[in-house]
Amino acid sequence: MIFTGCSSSKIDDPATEKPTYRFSIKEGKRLFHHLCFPCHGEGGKGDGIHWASAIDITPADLSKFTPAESSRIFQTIKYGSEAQGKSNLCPPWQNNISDEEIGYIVAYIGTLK
Amino acid sequence: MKKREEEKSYALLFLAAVILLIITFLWVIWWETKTLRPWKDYQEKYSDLAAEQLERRLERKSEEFSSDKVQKVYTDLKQALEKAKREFESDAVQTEHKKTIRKLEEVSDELKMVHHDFQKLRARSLVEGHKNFEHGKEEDKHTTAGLDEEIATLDEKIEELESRKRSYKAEIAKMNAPVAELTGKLNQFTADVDTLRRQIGFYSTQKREIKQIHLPDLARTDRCPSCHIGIDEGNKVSSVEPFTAHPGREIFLGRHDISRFGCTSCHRGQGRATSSVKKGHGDTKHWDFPMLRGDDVQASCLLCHEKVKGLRGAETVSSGLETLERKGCFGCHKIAGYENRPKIGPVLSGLGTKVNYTWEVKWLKDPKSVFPAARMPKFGFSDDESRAITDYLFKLNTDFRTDTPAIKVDWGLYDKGKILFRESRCSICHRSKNRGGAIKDIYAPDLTRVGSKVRIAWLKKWLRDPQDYFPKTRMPVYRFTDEEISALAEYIMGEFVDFDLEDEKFEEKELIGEEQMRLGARLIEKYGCFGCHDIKGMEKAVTIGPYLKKKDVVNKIGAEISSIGSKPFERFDTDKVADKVKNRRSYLSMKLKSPRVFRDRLLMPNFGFTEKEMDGLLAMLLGFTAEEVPSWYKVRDVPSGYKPAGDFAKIVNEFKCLTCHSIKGVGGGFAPDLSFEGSKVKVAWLRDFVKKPDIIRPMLKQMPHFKLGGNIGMVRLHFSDDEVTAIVNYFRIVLVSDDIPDDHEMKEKLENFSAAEGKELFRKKGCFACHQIGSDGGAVGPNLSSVGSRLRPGYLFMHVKDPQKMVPGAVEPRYNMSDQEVLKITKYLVNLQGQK
Repeated sequence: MIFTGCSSSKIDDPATEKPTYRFSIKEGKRLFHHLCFPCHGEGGKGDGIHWASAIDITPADLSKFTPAESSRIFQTIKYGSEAQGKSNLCPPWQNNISDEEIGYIVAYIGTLK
Repeated sequence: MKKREEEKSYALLFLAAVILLIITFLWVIWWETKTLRPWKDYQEKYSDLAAEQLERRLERKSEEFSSDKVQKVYTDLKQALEKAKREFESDAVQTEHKKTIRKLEEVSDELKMVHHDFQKLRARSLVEGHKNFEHGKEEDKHTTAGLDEEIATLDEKIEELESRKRSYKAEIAKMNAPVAELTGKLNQFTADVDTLRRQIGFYSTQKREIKQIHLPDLARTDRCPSCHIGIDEGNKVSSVEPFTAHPGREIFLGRHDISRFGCTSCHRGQGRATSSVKKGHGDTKHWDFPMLRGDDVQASCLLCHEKVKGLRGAETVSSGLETLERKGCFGCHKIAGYENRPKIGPVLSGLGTKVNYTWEVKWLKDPKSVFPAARMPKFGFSDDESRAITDYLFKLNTDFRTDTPAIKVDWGLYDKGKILFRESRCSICHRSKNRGGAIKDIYAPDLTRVGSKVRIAWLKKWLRDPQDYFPKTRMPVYRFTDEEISALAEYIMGEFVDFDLEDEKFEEKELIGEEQMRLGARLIEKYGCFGCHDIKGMEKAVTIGPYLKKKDVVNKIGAEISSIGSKPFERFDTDKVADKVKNRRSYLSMKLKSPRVFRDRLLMPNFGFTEKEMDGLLAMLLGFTAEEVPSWYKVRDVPSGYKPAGDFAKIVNEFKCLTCHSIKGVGGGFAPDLSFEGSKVKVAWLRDFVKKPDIIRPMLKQMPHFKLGGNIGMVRLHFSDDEVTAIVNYFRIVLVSDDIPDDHEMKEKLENFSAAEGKELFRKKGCFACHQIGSDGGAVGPNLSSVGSRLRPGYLFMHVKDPQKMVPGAVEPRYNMSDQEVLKITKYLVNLQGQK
């Protein structure tokens, strides 16, 4: 009776909810649909309806990126595709959105299949 | 024989009591220090996690440091430093150094003495000056003059001495420089490691104590950081609760500093509790404000922000308010701040002339069966009740229940009407057959079955002048000719027919009975139809639903109950559903989903809210509280109060430009903002466009897509020449911005730049990924083939330089180009005149 008061520590039972993660995905989705979807398409497959079909290059298929490439994606978004040695068609977004926001977009891209 | 009292021994009893006392004592100590203080464990664990993270980083840094490349640079530097030190220690340099130092000391001493003399002189001069001022004798004047001269000479000497001192110091610094520089560089290598070590040391010596934020302004004291230790750290130590960092730090904590707002102002819960997780989160009985979870937190935005629309991070509650305004909850419920809104439903005073009887009955029974996006909720009327209500409404205009059958189509007129329907772009607002209806801000009826709904005579009158029937309509006056109206009506009545309904229509008219009418009137009064609709004879009737939010009654019982977000849970009607409804949120959720389940004879109809609408509404309703914050916490909404004036106002009122366009914060968000259109576009182009609008953006819009049959552009309205002039003049004079340089200034600026270089830059920056010139390029932004004849150079310049300044929320990236580069591109664009 006396020792029923000793509750088990909550530390050993970590919550499975990750609020920061959920928020990142939500914000990332919103930003993606504002800035990226015109060229990269709804599911990020590179089939955006606003992309010029006359241009030979197609936008990257974002659904095939693995988490290991996250930092490369981050750099691409921040400094533009040209800085990665690709075409100059994806502009540097660093003046439009903050690093935190680029992080959200990268997190969202990670969920695309 | 019984023992006498004095002879009885209670020793055993005392022993037992003492043992019990000791045990209880020990238990109390354990309870107080361990169980009731879970935050101690959390803080320890957090320190461990943070230290672990730092150790990992330290490891990495050390590895980096010991890597060959870095080691080589380090050793080189070390050697260079040794060399510099040896040089410095060499006899030549040392003697020089010592000499200069001695010289410096001498100069400093001299300076000191000179300063002393100077002070003395100054003192004398002041005394003499004062004497002179008092007495004004001649010899005094001489004395002061003489003193002044001496002071001047001393001044010069001081200057000279000081400059010598400076030069000696410079020499010494030069001699010390190499060693100092190299030492600095060397330290950089180890600086990171040192900082990390220091930080790790910091975490192990942290005191375990309650961390609290005391906010007397808000009458709160929050002890949440005692367990949520890392919540305000930028560096994320763990993603497991309670060690996480706050989501969206930039948006939330960046603007709401935790030392000013605490935690419970937004999250609610019991800030002062520290003895258990449940208590801290307020999930206990009798704490009326349990912690808000997930997007519900946005309910608290309403405490301070008068305007949440467009507020970053408040999307859910903002959409809740939008739903409120779209569905018109204030039609029945009294809500503070929504007392004087216009009624959201159409006028019913002329219903008998407008619709067919059978359609109306079907509508009343279940609006969503007529079209799924209907705003009107389902009241659950029986057949008789629906007919009774329709009878009452029809009786306002006619004595009979009548239907008109579907028209026999004149196909020639029908074809003409079809073309006109397309040209007039009715689909922008009106949805029909699952297409169209892109504008979400305003409500235009779905036309899929309208041919069976309305009478053709009424339709023709409506198309001629909508404001005649419904003064507050958002539909513009199109100025169709009579033939055009006939054609359009023929098309609409012939195309959008509901053949099932046609079968149910009356052939003969029926008389409306008195009894039916009275039943209808009673039903209308009972269910409060006049809250959303204007009905002749019921204009002054009072809304029937309970308060959802009451203001100016703070700390009185009425406010607590009236504001639903702070209504104590015990006062909710949960008798029937007690097993499913355990707190305020679940009650509200059930009420919105099935309003009449709580007892018999409840009146609220079923709106059929979607999950998304429910989330928004719940966040909003939880935010309707009686709580007030001090005025310096509030973020006021200052409406722009813009109203068009003069002839332009008449035009705007007739053509309803502000339904799609916005000017200075007033109007719709569907079409471009015209606030500075006068500075933006060229007059000649504007004049042509207004008369005959063309397509500018091929697939439109920077934000989400919607699927329309054809292209979108401005509707074609028939302005007279005078009206066009009035519009153009208004734009040129009123809708201007000082930020945009005028044509003259731009001409000068652009003189020395070449369009060819601009074209190069255009290619280089990848602009054609989104813009088309000719047939080449993407379709995210407007086609630029003739942009030089549409936009003024000043606007082009400002837009390329900083797109978000001109068009907030624009997708166009900001490249931070130099002014010269922007001017080159501007020159190139200005020259794109296109073919006329």
